[in-house]
Amino acid sequence: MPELNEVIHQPARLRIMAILAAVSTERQVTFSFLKGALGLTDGNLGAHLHKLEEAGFVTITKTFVRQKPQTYVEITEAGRAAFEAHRAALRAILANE
Amino acid sequence: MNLSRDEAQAALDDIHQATARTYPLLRAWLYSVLVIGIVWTIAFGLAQWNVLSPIWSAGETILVGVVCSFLFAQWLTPVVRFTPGSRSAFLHTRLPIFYAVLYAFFILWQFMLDLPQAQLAMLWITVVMLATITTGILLQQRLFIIVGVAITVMASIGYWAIPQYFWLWVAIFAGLPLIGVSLYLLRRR
Repeated sequence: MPELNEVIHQPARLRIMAILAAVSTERQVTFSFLKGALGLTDGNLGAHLHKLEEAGFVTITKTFVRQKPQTYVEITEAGRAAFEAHRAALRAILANE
Repeated sequence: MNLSRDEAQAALDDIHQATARTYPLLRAWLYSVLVIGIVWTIAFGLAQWNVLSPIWSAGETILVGVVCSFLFAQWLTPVVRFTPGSRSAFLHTRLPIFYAVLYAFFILWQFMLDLPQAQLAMLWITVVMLATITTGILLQQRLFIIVGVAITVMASIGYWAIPQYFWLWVAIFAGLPLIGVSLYLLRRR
């Protein structure tokens, strides 16, 4: 039976992982898109992303696009697997009761 | 870690809402398919009663495709990008080149061959569907392949079986499916 993941379960991180998992494989989204979509501050989003990066669930790439700094975030294979397991565990809770 | 049923439901709702925020990002390109479907349906449909030259549909479709692709790229960049060095990034840089070469050859054939209008429409439909099927194979999107094959087969049937109603036939079986598929994918949750 799939287990809940404590790192992912925090509401903001859950939504971050949901967005990253939804944009399909081999795609990265910008930090600013995540910030706008989730309504988080720079510091708050940065802290959550750092936690997810430490867990090996996301990769963060800093680069320049048209001479402007840009930060891209992408879900890792381990992150996708953990997210899917977490979602399955949530569904199992609903199914079991 | 234990959760109540309500907490689990709330978390799943959160996931659903967050996922829905990516739909406009990932589905914007479908509007160009929708516009091409509308152009084909109207242009081919009107051609049945000689209201409009069918060549209008080819020219407009190219224009619509180019404009939509440009606007889409401008809007999307740099919100989302393919992982540098990945297979997807490779394919998405080569596919536009493939389309450009294919459509350049189509325009060349159009002027060189001086085909009757119905044959020209069939050439145009099959060129676009060839691009669709190739994209489906490369991106492993089964729906692209199914739509490409189905429209090609249906247009060919109309061309050979009922030439007197060919324009109406392709309006229904080439234009409307593009509208239907794009609307279905745009509304899908």
